[in-house]
Amino acid sequence: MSSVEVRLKVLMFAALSGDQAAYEQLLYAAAARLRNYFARRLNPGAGDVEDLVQETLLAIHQRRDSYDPSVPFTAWLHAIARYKLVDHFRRNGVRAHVSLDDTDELVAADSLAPALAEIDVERLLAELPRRQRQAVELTRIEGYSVAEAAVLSGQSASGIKVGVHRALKRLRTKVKSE
Amino acid sequence: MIATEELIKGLAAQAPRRPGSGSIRLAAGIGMGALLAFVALALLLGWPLASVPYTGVPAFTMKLAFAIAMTAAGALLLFAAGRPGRQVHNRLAWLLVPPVLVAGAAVVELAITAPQFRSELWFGSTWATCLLAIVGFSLPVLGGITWAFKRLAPTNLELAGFLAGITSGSAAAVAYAFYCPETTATFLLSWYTAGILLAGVIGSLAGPRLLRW
Repeated sequence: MSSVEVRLKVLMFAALSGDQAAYEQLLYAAAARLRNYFARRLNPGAGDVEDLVQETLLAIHQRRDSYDPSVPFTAWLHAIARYKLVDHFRRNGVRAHVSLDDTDELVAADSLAPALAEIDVERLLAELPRRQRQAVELTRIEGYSVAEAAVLSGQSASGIKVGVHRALKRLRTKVKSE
Repeated sequence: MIATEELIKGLAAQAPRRPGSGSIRLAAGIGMGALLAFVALALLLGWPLASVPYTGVPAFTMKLAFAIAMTAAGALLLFAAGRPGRQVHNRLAWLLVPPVLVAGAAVVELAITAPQFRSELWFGSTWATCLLAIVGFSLPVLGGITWAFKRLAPTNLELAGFLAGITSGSAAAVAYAFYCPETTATFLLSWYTAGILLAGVIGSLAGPRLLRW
C-alpha cells in the first residue's frame, strides 16, 4: 500500500474509534480530493462544486459505518463521490453517464492496476528529500492548497512552494535521464 | 451557507460510533422484521408448529433450512451492497445454491411419481397462501432493512433493493415454514422460490425510493 493509502486508513480507524483530531484531518483530506473530483466534472462557476463537497462530507459522516476495512479508503470515497455526482445530475435533469473508470483524482496510485507509471512515481518520490517529498505529496497528490499543506506539514508556505518547484525539477531530470 | 471548514469542525466534534455497528444494525433490522412477520402469522394462523405432525419433521426441516440458507446468503450480499467499494456481482451466484439443491430433490421426486400425480407435487393445496404469505410478510422485513440502511451507503439502488427484497422474502419464508402444510421439494422449489423472487422484484422497484440517500 502507498503511504497515502496507509495514512488515510490509519486516520479512518482512529476516527471510527473516536479520535476527533484524526477525523478532522481525514475530512480535510477527503474534502480536497472531492473538490478535485467534482471540479473536473461540473460546469465551472456554477457554485455546485463546494455544495457537492459539503453534501458528500455530510454523507460520509452519516454513513461512516459503511466503510469496510478490506476496501482502500480512497476506493470507498470514490464510490460515494460517484454516487453523489450521479444523483446530482439526476436531480438537475442531466442525462450524463459517469464512467466507472474515471478514478484518476480520487483513487491513490497503488489501488489502480499497476501501470508502469504508478510504480515509477512511487520510486521517484521515495528518492526525494523528506521535505520536498512531503510538499509534492500534499499539494500534487492529495490536492491541498499551499496554505493547507503548510499547516499540515509545519513548513512555511514559501518553503512548500520552493520544495515543490525543486522536487518537480529533480523528478523531471530523473525521468529524462531514464 | 457555512464554510466547509466549519462543517468539518462540526462533524469532527460529534460523538464517535462503535466500529462494526453496521452489521449489527442490519441483523437487528432483519430480525425485528422477521419477528413482526412471525407474530402476525401467529395471530392469523394460530400455533406455529401445528402442521409439523402432519408434514413430518424431515419436510419441515427441509423447508426451514432452505429459507434460512436463502436469508443468510441474501443478508451477506445485502450487507456488501451497502458498503461502497465492495464487489457484489461476482457473488450473486450464491443465491442459486439453495434452489439448485432443492431442484435436485425435486427432480428425483418428479421422476418417481406417476405423471398423473405430478401436478399435486407442484401445486399442493396451499400454493396461493404460500405465495401471498411470503410476499406479504416480506414487507415488514423490508421495513426493518430500510431502517438499518440509514447507516449504510448502497451505491447501486436497484441491486441493493433486489437483495433487500430477496432477504425479506427469505426471512418471511422462514416464518411461514412454521405453518406450511406442504411436504414436497417440488412445491418448495416452485412457490417458496417464486415468492422470494417476487419479493426481490418488489425490492428492486422500491429500492431507488426507499434506499436513496
